[in-house]
Amino acid sequence: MAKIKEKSYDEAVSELEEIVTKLQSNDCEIDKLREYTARSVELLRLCKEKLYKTDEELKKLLEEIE
Amino acid sequence: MSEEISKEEFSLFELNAIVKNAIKTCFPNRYWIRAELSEVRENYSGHCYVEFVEKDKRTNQIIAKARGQIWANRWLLMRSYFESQTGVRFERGINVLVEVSVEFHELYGYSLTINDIDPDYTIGDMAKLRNEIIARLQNEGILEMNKELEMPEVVNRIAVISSATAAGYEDFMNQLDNNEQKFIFYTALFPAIMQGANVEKSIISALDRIYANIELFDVVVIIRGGGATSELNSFNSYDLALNITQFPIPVIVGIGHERDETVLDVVAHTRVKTPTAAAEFLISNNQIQEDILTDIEISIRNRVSFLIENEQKKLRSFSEKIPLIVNNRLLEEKNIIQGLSSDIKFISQSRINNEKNKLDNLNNSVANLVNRRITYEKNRLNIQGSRIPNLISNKLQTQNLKLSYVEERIKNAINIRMSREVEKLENMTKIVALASPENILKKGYSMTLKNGKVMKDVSDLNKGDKIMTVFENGSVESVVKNIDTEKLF
Repeated sequence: MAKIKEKSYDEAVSELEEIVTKLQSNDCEIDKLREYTARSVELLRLCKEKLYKTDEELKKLLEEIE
Repeated sequence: MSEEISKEEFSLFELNAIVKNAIKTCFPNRYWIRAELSEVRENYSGHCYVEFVEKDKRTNQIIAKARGQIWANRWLLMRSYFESQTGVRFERGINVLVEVSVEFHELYGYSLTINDIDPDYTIGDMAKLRNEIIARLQNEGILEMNKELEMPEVVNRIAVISSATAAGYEDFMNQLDNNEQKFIFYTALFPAIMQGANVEKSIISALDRIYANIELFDVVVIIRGGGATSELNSFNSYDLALNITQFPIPVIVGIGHERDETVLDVVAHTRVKTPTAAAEFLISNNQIQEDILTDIEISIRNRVSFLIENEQKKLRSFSEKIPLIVNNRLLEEKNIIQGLSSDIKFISQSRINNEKNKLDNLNNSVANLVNRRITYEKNRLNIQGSRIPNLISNKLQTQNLKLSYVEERIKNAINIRMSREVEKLENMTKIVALASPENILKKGYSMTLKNGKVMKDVSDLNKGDKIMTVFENGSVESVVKNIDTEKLF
């Protein structure tokens, strides 16, 4: 099994979209900007890892099947 | 029948020769026949030998069979023409429409020599088969099942079904490994035979192996490249299609052809033309995700800076605006108050004027009324006045008349009264003369006085009182000796 991250890619993207929506809403709390920004950086990092970073454990598993 | 009849005898060859002749005579033309190929084989000299069968449509039992041949000189041309037109191999299992001449050979017996073939018939037959499979899947409600699966957002764990040695597989892997964006892809090959009679079983078995590790994969890719275009009929398989529709993750198919879609293409989640295109599809799928992430990143960054700038602007503008706003507000209020005060002045002035006018009007009306009344009363008085002298003189006359009448009556009354009073006086004088004390005293009566006063009541007198008794011709004084109250009369 692939290493289980706390959040799946889909969940991370959904949360990012929620953050965008919150930021775009008229009643976005300015006090929370820092929190939102920090969270979105973390989520973006998680998502990009899925696209770019090799999961060695998964690689090994797949080699075993072959 | 005992009489011997001379028998005409033939050798087998002779008879076969007669049959051959008869057939040649009876079937002088070429005939187009529909049949299924149950066997196809090419011999060392380049001739092609086939076996035709016809099956009962209902029972699938063979009801007719014939051998056939295509001579080498025709076979080469006919085969490539047929296979390029139909996209299927000239092999057992396909239905064909061929032009044959009927042959009978003394040694080999009955056979059909193929002179021409109509690929359109086979194309139509295959399309019919393909359509039947699609219709069946449709009726079973499963045709679109794999298509309806959602493609995961990130697709990089790929189960590949391909022949390990196929050029198409190499193309696919190169394309993935060398993607410019450096996306990570994990592939596992599940080898399968992609041409020949066992394609269907081989692919299904590969799918089963993938299914055993399904949680490791995002998609299945079935690729085939570099093979003959005449293999496609293998993909028009109900069982294979059934497996694909039921597969729990999306199946991408790139089996390298440009012509009509096979059933496999129809039921697959995504269909591309070549293995390279399959790799490009996967890369572009991740590129879409990359773009989405970039968009999100940009919009968060822009939005955050916008919000911060906006707040700063707001704060600045507050600090600039507040004094202005306060001043403006004060001015506004001042204006309002000024306006109100001049309004009030104006309103009260006009009210006063109004009331004044009303009063004036009333005044005028009253004056008019009074004047009119005065005039009226004056007129009335005048009228009445003018009547007064007449009335007075009339009244005076009447009164005069009345007075003269009264005067007359008074005169008469006075005269009557006078004479009556004279008569009375005369009587009275007589009475008085008769009643005078002298007369009375004369008649014998006397008068008793006490202390100068006439005594009329015996009770006024007491014993011892000095009394004077008056007579007509003198008086005596006496003392009361006794008092008797008894009446004499």
